[in-house]
Amino acid sequence: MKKETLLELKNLHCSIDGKEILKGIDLSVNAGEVHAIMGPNGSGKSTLAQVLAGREEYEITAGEVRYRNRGLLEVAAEERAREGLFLAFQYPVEIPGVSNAYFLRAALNAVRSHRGEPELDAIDFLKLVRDRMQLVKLDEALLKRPVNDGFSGGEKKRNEIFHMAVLEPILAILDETDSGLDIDALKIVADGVNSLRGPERAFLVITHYQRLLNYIVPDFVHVLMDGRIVRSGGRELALHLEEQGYEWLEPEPRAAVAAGR
Amino acid sequence: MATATIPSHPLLAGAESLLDGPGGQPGFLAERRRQAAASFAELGLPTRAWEEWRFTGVSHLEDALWTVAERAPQLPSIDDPPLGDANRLVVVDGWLEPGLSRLHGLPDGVFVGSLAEAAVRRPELVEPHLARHAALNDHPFVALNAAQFRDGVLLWIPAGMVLDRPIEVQLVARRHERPTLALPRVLIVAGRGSQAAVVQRSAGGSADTLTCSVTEVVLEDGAALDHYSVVDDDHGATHIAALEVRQGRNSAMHSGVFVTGGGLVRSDLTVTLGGTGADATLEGLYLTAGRQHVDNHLLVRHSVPSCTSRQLYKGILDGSSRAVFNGRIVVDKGAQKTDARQSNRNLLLSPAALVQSNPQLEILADDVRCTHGSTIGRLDEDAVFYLRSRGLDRASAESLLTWAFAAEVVEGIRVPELRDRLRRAVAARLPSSHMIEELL
Repeated sequence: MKKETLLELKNLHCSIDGKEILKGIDLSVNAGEVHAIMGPNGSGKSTLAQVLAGREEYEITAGEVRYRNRGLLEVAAEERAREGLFLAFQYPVEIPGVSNAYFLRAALNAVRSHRGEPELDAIDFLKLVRDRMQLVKLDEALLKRPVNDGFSGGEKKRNEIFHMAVLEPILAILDETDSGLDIDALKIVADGVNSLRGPERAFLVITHYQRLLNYIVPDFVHVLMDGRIVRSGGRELALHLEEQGYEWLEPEPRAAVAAGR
Repeated sequence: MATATIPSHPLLAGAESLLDGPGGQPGFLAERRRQAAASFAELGLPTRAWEEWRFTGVSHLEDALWTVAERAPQLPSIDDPPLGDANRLVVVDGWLEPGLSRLHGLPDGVFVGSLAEAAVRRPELVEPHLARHAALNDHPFVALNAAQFRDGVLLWIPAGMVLDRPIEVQLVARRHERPTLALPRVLIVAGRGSQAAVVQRSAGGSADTLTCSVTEVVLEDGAALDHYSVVDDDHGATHIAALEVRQGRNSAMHSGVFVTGGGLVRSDLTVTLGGTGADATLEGLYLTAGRQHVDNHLLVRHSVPSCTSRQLYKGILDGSSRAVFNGRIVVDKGAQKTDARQSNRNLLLSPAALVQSNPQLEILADDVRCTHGSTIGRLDEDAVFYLRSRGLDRASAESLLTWAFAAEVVEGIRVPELRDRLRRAVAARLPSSHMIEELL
């Protein structure tokens, strides 16, 4: 049985303030797959994540993005979320004055009503969130606290995965979810993600380091450099990058010479 | 002594009987009225050339012929229900109306009632304070009130008393056919070690109403007072309010000034920390829209060592409304170990809204900690995107963030029924108010 293609990027170019960041990206993600996008700082990884989630500040100058066989670029960020796309932020935003539980319930009900499902009442909601908090071993006190306000770096990242577990996306993009986490927190986050893996769902895991990929084992690894995917492969590509760094892949001719090729 | 001539100014017309002699009022009051009238006549109405009135023009008030409101021949109906089980006093156009007030369950020894009556019957409570604290010589409207006020409220709390129900003072302005001046006056004396909460709210009025309210608050040593002032007059009305606070040793004042209505609103809050260990927490929120103009002037004076003050004023501006924040901290020589903080944050929801924010520090002592900060900005687009990326539409995301901005002040209100009203007032201003109401 052929797996559904969830996400398809064709020659995606985008710019911000006249500066081109993504310079022609082709990528295809099927249901059930985990793709890792690796690359050095400034290669365009986070831009890719933001563009896919619907950030409007970026100008798409060429190319196409299809999500579940529908053009994605003209769809508003909130509608993408309701259609099952989720971005775990690299820098989750603090919102003093709005409790984590309230925000999450508003988000969940927006998603549910879009799907034609009834809104969850307070009791069912609490049951669901308690269950999902276990996944990332998040202290229940953080439900009542304002969103991300006063959370430690690790709590913020775990909170993102917790949101993901409640919203049950079809395609989840994790933007440097591993940055700033110690090894224990990293394992907790990875366990949470792994427990959500399934045949209907796909993940795009964006990371600078291969460390996370020891715990979230990808099906495919892509290397993004200077706005282009310069190499794709299996898990072994990530291990190779860990040993060799990114320099041997440098797309600039001069760098290639420097690397002795 | 020769009789003093009555100072002349159109806004003092009709004051002769008050200024001329006792006329049923105690001598000390007539004397203070005369001083105030003289001061007002000398000052005149402020112009924009005055530093403290640079951004708030009131000279148009000269163009109308104002008369001080008479007592209402018929009691108006009051729409707002009292705040929970609060004791309520209703002041209509500057006159306390016992028929509209509701006092129940007040302990013996506390005085809550007509200020004019108290001046006659209990001068020992009034004389040491009335028109002694609010500055007559530099704020013309304070002087105008002292010269001309007809009545108001005295709340006198004896030493050690703890009032467990809030006192609500509702200032109501009626609609009038001609330009009408209302001069409500409130005096609160919190005795040593006493505790109380007072909610003062103003409502009503019209384009032909000028309300000039003065509230004097005295916290004796160790007293703790929560005082909230809500200005919710009609959008055409002008309200100039002065709140003057004197604090003794180890006293604690928690003040909230919430402006949700009124056309032209000026609020002067002056706090003098006159006893060591005194603490003043001064919070404010102004929600403006249309062509409203709201000016908050704060002056916190640290005159003795080891006092703390914290100012947090926030504004949410829509339409082509204007807000002014002027926060001044004065630390007198010798007021060492002062800890004074000030923060003014403004959220602009419309490109036509405008804020003037002016922090001022005058520090004459050397061992102090004083901070101030002021921001004027729009909603953070990163935060809007974060919420949208979880499925909330833009209007809901913006509403939630605006709510969150206000919540820092609103959630600090310690009278639950008032907190609830303010929450609703904020929610009503938001595009997705139904969503925010679920929060409440």
